[in-house]
Amino acid sequence: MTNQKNLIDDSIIVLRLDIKNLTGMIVEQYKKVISSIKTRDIDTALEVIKNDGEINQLCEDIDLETIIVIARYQPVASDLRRVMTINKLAYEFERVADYAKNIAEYVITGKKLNVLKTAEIIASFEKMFEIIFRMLKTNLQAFLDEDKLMAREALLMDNEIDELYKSNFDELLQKFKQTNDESEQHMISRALVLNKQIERAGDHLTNVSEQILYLIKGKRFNAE
Amino acid sequence: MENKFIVNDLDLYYKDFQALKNININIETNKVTAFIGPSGCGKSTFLRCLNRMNDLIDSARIEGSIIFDDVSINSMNPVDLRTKVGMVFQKPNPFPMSIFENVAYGPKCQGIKDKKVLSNLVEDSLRAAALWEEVKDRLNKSALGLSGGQQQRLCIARAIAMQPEVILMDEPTSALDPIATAKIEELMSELKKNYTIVIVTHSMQQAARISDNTAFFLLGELIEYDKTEKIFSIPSDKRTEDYITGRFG
Repeated sequence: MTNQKNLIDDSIIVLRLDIKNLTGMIVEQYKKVISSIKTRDIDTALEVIKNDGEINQLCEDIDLETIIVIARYQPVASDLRRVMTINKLAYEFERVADYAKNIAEYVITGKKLNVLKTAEIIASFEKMFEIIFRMLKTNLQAFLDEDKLMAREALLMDNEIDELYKSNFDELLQKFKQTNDESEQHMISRALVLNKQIERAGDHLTNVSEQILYLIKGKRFNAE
Repeated sequence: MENKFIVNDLDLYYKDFQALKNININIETNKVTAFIGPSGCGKSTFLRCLNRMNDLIDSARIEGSIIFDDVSINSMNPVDLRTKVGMVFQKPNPFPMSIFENVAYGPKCQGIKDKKVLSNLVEDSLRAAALWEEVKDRLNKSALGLSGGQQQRLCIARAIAMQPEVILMDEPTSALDPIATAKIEELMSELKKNYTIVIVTHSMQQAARISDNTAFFLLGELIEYDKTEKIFSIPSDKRTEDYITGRFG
C-alpha cells in the first residue's frame, strides 16, 4: 500500500499556510503593542487597532474555506481532525489578537488620561508577554509538525502565565491599598485589567495546544 | 439477544485461493452494520456467508463457525436460514410480474394461500419499505414499470414479506440516484428498529451516515471493526485511515 496524494491535500496546505501567516501577524501585533506601552507611542497603538481588522478578515476567510473544504471533500479521520483544528485555531487566534487590540486601546486612553506609568507596567508585564510569544511560536511549530511533545510544552507554559498573573494581581492590589492618589489608583486599576487581558490570551493559546493534541492523538488532553 | 451473528475463525477458499482469512466478528441485533473495503477485499463474499449463499458455489470451501441466534448456521436448513436472513442486491431485481405478486411470491411459496392474509402482508411490507403510498393504486401493474429506486424498495418489501430477522444488503443504492438513495437510507434507519441490517457499500459517506458499526476489510482480512463514529474520526489502524481518506492506492 502506498500513500497517494488526495484532492483535499492542496486545500489543507493552503489553510496551514494561512494559520502560519495568522500567527506571524499576531506576533507582530504583540511586538507593536509592547513597544507602544514602552514608548507610549499612540501611532503604534493605532496601527495595532487598524491591523486587527486584517486579522479578523483572515480568520473569517479561514473559517469560510474550512466550510467549503468540508462541503467539497467530506473529510474523515485525520483529514477531518485537521480541518476542524484549523477552523478552531482561527477562532482562538482571533481572540488572542483581540487582546492585543484591547491592550492597544488601553494604551491610547491611558496616554490621554496621562495615567499610564510605563516603567512599572513594563516591569510587571514583560515576562508575561514573553511567554505569550513562546506559546504562539511553540504552538505553531507543534501544529505544522504535528508534534505532540511541543504541543504539551506550549500547554504547560500557561501555568507560568497564571503564576505571573496572580503575583501581579497581588502586587497591584497592595499598591492600590497603599495609595490615596487618584491618578495612581486609576493607573493601577488599568494595569489590573491589562493583567487579566494577557492572562486570557494565555487561556486561548492553551485551547490551541489542546486542539493540536486532539488533532494528533484523536482524544482530548484531559482524557489521559 | 445482543448479537445476531457471532462469527469465529472464518476462512473461505475458492479452490486454492483464500478469499477470507480468520474473520472474527459479532453482528449486533437491531443495528446497521456496514462492510467497507476496496473491490475484491472479501466484503461481499463475507456477506454471502451469513445466509449461506456461498453454498451455491461449488469451488467455495468454508471453515470456522457462524452462530445465528445461538445456532450454527451449518446445522440449519439453508432455506429456513434464508427466510430469516433476507437479501437485497446491488441491482434491483423484481420478478417480471405485478407489484402485488412480487411481494406475495415468497409467502405463497411458504404455503400462505388466504387472500386476506396475503393482501395484509403485502400492504404491511410495502408500508415498511416506504413504498405503499406510491404504488397502492397500481398493485396489479408490472413491477418493471417502477423507477429504479421504487424497484429497489420493492425488493426490500419482498424481503420483508418473508418476515426475516436480518436483511443483508449488497450495495443496494449503487444503481440509484441521490434522491432514491436518500429514501433507502432513511428506510434503513427505520427498519433497524425491527431488523438487523448488514450492508456492503462502496460509499464511505453512506457507511458514515447510516451505520452504527463499520467493518473494514482488506485482502480478505477484517482489519478494523468498531463504532462507525470511531472509524470515521479516529480509526485505530493506519490501513483504515488510508482507505477512508482516499490515500489508498
